[in-house]
Amino acid sequence: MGNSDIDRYFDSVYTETLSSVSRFVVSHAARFQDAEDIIQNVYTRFYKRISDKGYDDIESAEAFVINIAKFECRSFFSGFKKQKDRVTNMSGFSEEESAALEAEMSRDQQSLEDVMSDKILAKQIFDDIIKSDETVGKIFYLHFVCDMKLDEVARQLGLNLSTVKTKLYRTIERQKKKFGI
Amino acid sequence: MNKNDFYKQLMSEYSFDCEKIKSNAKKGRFAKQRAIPMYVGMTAAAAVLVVAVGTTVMTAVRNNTPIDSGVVLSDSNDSVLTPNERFVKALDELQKNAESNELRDVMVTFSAPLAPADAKAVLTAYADGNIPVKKLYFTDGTEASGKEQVEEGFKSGQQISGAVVNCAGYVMASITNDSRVLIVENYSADMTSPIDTNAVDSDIVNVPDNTNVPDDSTPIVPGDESADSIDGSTTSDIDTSDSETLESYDSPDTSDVSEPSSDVSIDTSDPVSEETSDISSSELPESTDTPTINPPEPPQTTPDSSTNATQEPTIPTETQPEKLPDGVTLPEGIDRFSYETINLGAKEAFFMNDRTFFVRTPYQVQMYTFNGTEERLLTAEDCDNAEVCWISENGDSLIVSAVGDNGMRNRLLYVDANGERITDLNAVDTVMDGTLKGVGYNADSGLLVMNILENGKYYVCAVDFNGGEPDYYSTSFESSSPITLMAANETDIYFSVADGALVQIYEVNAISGTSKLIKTYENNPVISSNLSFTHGIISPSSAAITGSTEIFDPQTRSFTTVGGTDISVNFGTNKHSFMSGGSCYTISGGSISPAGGTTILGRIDYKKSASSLYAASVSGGMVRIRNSIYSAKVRNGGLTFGELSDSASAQIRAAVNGALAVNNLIAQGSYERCGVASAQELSQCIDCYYSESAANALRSRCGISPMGGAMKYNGAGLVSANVYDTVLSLSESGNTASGILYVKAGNYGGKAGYVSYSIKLVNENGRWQVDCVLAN
Repeated sequence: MGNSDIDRYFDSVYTETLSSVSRFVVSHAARFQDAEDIIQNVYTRFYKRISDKGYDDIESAEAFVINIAKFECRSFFSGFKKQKDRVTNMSGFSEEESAALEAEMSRDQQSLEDVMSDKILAKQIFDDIIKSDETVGKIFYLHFVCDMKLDEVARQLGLNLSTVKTKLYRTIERQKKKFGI
Repeated sequence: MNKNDFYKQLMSEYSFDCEKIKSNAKKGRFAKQRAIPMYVGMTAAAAVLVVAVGTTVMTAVRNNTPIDSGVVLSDSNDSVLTPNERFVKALDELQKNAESNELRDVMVTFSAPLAPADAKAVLTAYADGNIPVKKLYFTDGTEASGKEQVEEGFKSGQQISGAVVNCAGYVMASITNDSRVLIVENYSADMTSPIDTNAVDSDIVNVPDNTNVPDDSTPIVPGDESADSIDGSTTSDIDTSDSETLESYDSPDTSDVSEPSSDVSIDTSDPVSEETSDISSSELPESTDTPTINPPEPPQTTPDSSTNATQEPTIPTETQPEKLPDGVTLPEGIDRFSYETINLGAKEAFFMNDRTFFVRTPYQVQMYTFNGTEERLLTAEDCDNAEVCWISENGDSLIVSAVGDNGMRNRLLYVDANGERITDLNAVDTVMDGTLKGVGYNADSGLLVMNILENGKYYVCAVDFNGGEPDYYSTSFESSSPITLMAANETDIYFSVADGALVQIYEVNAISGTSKLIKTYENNPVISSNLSFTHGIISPSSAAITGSTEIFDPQTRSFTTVGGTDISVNFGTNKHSFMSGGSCYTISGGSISPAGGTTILGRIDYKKSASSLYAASVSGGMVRIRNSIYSAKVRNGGLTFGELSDSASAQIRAAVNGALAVNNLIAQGSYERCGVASAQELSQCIDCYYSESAANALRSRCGISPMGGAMKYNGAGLVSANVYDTVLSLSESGNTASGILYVKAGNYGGKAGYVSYSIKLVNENGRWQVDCVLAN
C-alpha cells in the first residue's frame, strides 16, 4: 500500500471524524486545555497504525479513532488531580436573567465582527474563556461548536444544568464587562 | 453577527489548529505534555496575523499615534529614568504581570550582547518560536524595526543588546529567567534603547520571586542574577491577596498572617545599599587576595549568526595543543538541568527536602516528589488561599493557614515532607466563627499561637503542638484594639496592641494568662515577626520620615536597634539570623553580630531550595525545576565570594577549558552529540588537554580503556562546569603553573559564590596541559 493511499485514506478519515473526535475528547479530557494535545496524539497514533498495518481490517474508522481517543484521554496526564469545582462560589442565575441574556445572545451586534477581526483581542477573549476554570472551555466548545443544547452539555459533562448555565452565563456577563462585547 | 455566532466562530477558530494536527500526525509527532505556550490553540494564520498586527502597533507607537487597545504600554516617561530606576521599575512590572495573559510590548535587555542566533533563541524559547519581535538594538547603537528589518538583523553578524517583543505578561518573567537576560520591562514609546547594563548597580539586581530560578551557570554580568526575595519576615504590610476573601482582612498594619510569599518581594527590589560584606570578608580564602579580574570572555569562535544557537561552542583551533579527532566538538558548557511540570496552577513552589517540593495553588496545597525525570503527587489538600505562616529551620515542615468552608480563614495545615503527609490541625475548633488574623509557631516550645478576630474583638489563643495532635491551651488575652503577634519564648507570648498611633507591646503567659505591658511606642510602628516566631520586628511606619528598625529578643526581653542606613530586616527560616543591607547578622543574647556561611544564607533565602539537588520556581502555573545551588559541596565547603579575576595566559586558559570540556563530555555522556565515536577517540581527547600522568589517572578513575569497550563511563565527581563561569588564579614557574580554579556555583544573597579547586599544569614540548584530575 503506497504512501499516497495511506494519506488519502487518512485525510478522508480525518475530515469525517474530526468533529466527533473533538467532541469526545473535549467531553472526556481532564481540562479543555489538554484537548488539542490529545487529539493530536489520537491522529498521530492512527496514522502510525495505518502506515504500519494498513487499514483493510478497519471496518469503522470513526469507532476506531474514538477507541484510540478513549485510551488517550485516560492516559494523558493520568497523574493530574482535578481541581476543586469552584461553581459553588458562583451565585445563581435567575430565570429572568437567563431569559434576558439569551435574548441578548441572539441580537445582532455589528461590533462583534470588528472584535473577531482583531486577532489579538479575539485571542484574549478565547484565553479568558479557557482559563476561567477547567469546564468553562468545554461548555463553550460543546455548546457553540458542537451545537449541543445546554442540558445535553450538562449530561455529557456530568454536571447539573444549573451549573452549566451559571458557568456559561457568568462568563459571558464577565466578558461583556471586561471586553465590552 | 450575534453573540451565538461570535462565540461559535471564536471557539471554532481558536480551539484547535486542525491543519497543524493533521500535518503533525502525518509526521508522526506526538504532543508534548507541557503547559500551553503563547500561541497554542491559535491557528497558524492567526499567529501570522499577530506578527503583522504587532508590527503595525509598533509603527503606531513610533508615530505617537493611538495604540491598539489590546496592547498596554507604560505611561511613564522612561527616557528620564536612570538605568537603576528603570531596573527597579521593571522588577515591579514583572511582579504585577506575573499572572497576566494580556499582550503587551516589552523591552528585553540582555545581560551581555548576544549573537543573533542566541538572541533569537532567548526570545523564542518561551513562546514556541512564535513571539513577535518588533525591534532589535545592536551594540553599535543602531536598531532594526519592523518585520523585514528585524529579519535582516537576525541574519546579520551584529551583536544584539536588546529587543522589543510582543508577549503576554506572564511570559515576561519566563524570559527574565534566562540568565542571558538582564531584565524585561514594559516598553514605552519614549524608550530609545535597552537598559545600559554597565550603569546598573550590581547591588540592585535582585530578581523578584516569580523569577526565582537559582542559576548555577550564570555568567557574571553587571546585573548579576540573584534569585528570589530574601524577605523571610512575616511583615504585615504586604499584598498576598489573590482572592476576594482576603480583602476581609483588617488594615495591613494589623494583619500578621501574611506569608513571605512570592507576592511580597517588591520590598526587596528596593535598592539595597551594600557595604563591605561580612560574608565575603569572612569567607574569602587567603588565596583570593589576588587582584581583581573578570571572568574570561567567550572566545570569538563562539557561534556566530549562522550557527545554531544550541550548538556547543568549539574550542579555538589555534589554541588547541593537539588535534582532536575529526568531527569532535567538546562541550565547553554543561547542560542546565531543567524540567517543567504541567500547569498545576501553582502560585508558589519550593523544595522542602532533597526530592520533595511543596506547591501552593489558589485552591490546594500539594506535595510532590521528583525523581529527576518526573514528579509524582504525594498528597494534596483542598484549601482556599493558603498562606505559609511557619517553616522549620531545615525547611522540611511548614504550617499554612487557609480559608475554610465558611469563607473565613480558620484552617491550619501542617505539611510534613519527610512524613509525606498534610495534617489538618483542626484550628477551626479554636477559631470557631472568627477568622485568623495571625499565626505564630515556636517549635522549641511547641507553642502554636493564633490571633483571632471575632465579632470585633481580638483573641490570643495558644495551642500545644509538637507534631502530633494539637491540644488547646487557653485564650490568654483579648482586646477590642487590633493585635499583632510578635514572638514566643517557652510559654510566654509577645504581641502588640494598637490604639491609633499608640502601640503597646505585651507579654502574656499562655498557661496562667497573666499579662504585663513591656514597652510603648507612640509613632505607629509596623509590627511583625520572623517565620520562626522567635523574634519580633518593630519598623518605622511607612509615613515616618526618620526612625530605626528594632529587633525584639524575647529571651532577653531586649529591643535592639539594627545598625546601618538600611533598616530593612529579612529573616528566613533561621531562628536567630537575618539579612540587612546585603549582609547577614545573628542576634544572640540581645546583641547583633555579623554572621556568614551558605547555610545561614540558604535559610534566609529559603525559597531558593532546602534541597541539595533541585530548586523550584513558578512560571505561568507550571513548576520549573532546576539544579539547586545548595549542593552538598556548597553546604559543606566554603564558598569564595567577591570579585575574582582571571590571571591565566591564553595558552593555559585554553588547556584548562579543554580539560573542563573533556570533563563535561564524560560527566554528561554526550559522546554521540559531540562526535566522539569510540573509546579511542575519547582517550585522544583526554590526551589533548591532560598530561600523561593526569590522563592515565582520569582514565583509571572513570573506567576508560583506550582499547575500546562500551561508551559508558563513570563521570561522578568530576568538576563539570561552563568554562565561562570559571576564574583561574595561577602563578607560573618555568614549565609549571599552579593555583586555584574557581567555578561559579550560583548567587547567594545577591553575590556570586565560587567553589574552588586546586589545579596544576605542566608545559611539555611547548604546550600546556592540566597535570591533575579536576575532580571533587
